[in-house]
Amino acid sequence: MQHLLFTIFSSVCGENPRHIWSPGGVLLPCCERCTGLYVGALIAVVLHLWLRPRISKHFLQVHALCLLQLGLFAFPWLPDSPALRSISGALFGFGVVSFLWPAVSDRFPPMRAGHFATGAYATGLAASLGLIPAIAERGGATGAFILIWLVSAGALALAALVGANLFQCLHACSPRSATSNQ
Amino acid sequence: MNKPTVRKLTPALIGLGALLTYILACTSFSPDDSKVLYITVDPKSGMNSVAVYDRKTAKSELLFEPVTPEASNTPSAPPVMVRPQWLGDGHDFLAAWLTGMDNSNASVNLAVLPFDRRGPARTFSLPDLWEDGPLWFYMRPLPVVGSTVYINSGSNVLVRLNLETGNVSLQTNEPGLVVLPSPGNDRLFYLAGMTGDPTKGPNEFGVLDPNTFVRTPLFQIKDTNASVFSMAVSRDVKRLAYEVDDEKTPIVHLLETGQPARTISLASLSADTEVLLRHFSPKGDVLYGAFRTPNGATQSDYGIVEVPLDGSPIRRTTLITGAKGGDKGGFPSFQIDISHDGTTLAVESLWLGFGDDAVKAEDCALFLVDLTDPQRKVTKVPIPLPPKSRPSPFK
Repeated sequence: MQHLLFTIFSSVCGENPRHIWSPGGVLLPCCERCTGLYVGALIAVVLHLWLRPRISKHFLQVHALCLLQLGLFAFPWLPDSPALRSISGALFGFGVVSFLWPAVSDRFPPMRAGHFATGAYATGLAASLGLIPAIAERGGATGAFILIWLVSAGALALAALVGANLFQCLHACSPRSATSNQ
Repeated sequence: MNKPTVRKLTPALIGLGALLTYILACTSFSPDDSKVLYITVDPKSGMNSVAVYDRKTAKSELLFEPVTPEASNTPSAPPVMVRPQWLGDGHDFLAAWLTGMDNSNASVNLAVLPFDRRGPARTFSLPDLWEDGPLWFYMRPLPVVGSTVYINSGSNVLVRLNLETGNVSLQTNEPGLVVLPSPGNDRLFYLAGMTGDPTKGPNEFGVLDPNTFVRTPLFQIKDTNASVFSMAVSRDVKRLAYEVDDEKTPIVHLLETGQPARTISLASLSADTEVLLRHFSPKGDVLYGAFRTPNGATQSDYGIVEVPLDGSPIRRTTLITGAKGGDKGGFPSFQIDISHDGTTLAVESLWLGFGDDAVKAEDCALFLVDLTDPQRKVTKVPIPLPPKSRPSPFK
């Protein structure tokens, strides 16, 4: 199973051996940043399903920062560590899910944002940032299996979102759709 | 396309574009094995040096040469370069060499050297590290996980050296525990039960947490004299293969997760052929090793063997024919390595080039064997023979 996951993730992750966690000696199937990305994306999807935040312009602007922060790590003078790589990946995961969510928002109508929803969303985001490095660094073999499951589920969730968005794009670009829009 | 559609598609395009960019950036790290580190001899100084061979341009370049200035009244053995190895991201490499081998001031020296980028070069000297001689330095590449190198020192002491900070810490384990590198340099393996008794080999193989040193046993080795030199583990750590010292007919002992232990006979090679198992193919279905077959009373043939686990015929590719030095002292130095994609085996014969019984000049080389070629095409990168005055550390 582990070998299979490693092979699957090798198509989307460089699997740099210097940047892969192995809690309790169990190797994760992707690098620290990708671990953050997929676990972050999974938590973001769960939060979107639960809280149904309205994808407003302001919401997307905030999450655009989550996407752009990744570019900072191209600068070699900035500090870099396994935890920071994971945190940046998780932020990126939240950003990507927010931009991909409108494609499926028709199926999950947004609810008006309130203090509780905003607080819960922010708490979920903060928890995922701290939780991933904590599990990886202190969770041992049990933590590794938890992360492997979360990463796999996150990758599936992200793949589903990507599929929905690709379908939407292709549908919008098809001549039939263009004709009906006119 | 009307306006609402554009508004709805814009986030999708941004999200997909960002994700695609991320994946392309992340997968850009890929060890392509285009450059091979090896030990050569600097023809000017006669010293062991680290060189890199570029497989695309078919050119070699000297990279590093440790030289110890010697006062004429205190002659000592010259440094012996043990091995170079790439560090995780391929931008740096680690070189290890030994000094003071002829006296009590023996020490192991390490250098982290930038390869294709600007950065600091760091050197480390660790004196009085071992009790049993430098055996472990020759046996396998040094285990490196993250930025820490792990060095076996004595039977129960493990030295942890942080290659970024120079911080050294000692970890005391149970006697007879030896750490080994993993195929991807991403975790630590261990062998337990190495009591120092030459008639007893390891009795347990497993994964060692590099931070907590908690052991996760994977295989129990029932044979009492399993060879630590002839041992290989598959990349998914589900197969362990080894030979047993002094077995009359060479046999591969195979332990597989969830399967009964089994053996594969190497009798088809020839009764007096020695084999050093070293690597599994990436899929774990073929074992690779080096072989030495006596050729007459004083000569030997050297090469590689491929042992399919499904019972298919064993294949041997001879690289050196009729090398002088019929004894087997230098054979453990004939260590093969395998590329990440499993298509190329590499082995160098430098250590067979020491002393009076050295291999012929044309046989002192780095050999690259193309496993995808039905004829097993061999690329030979010449290495100058070391000066006659240099004794081999293996003899």
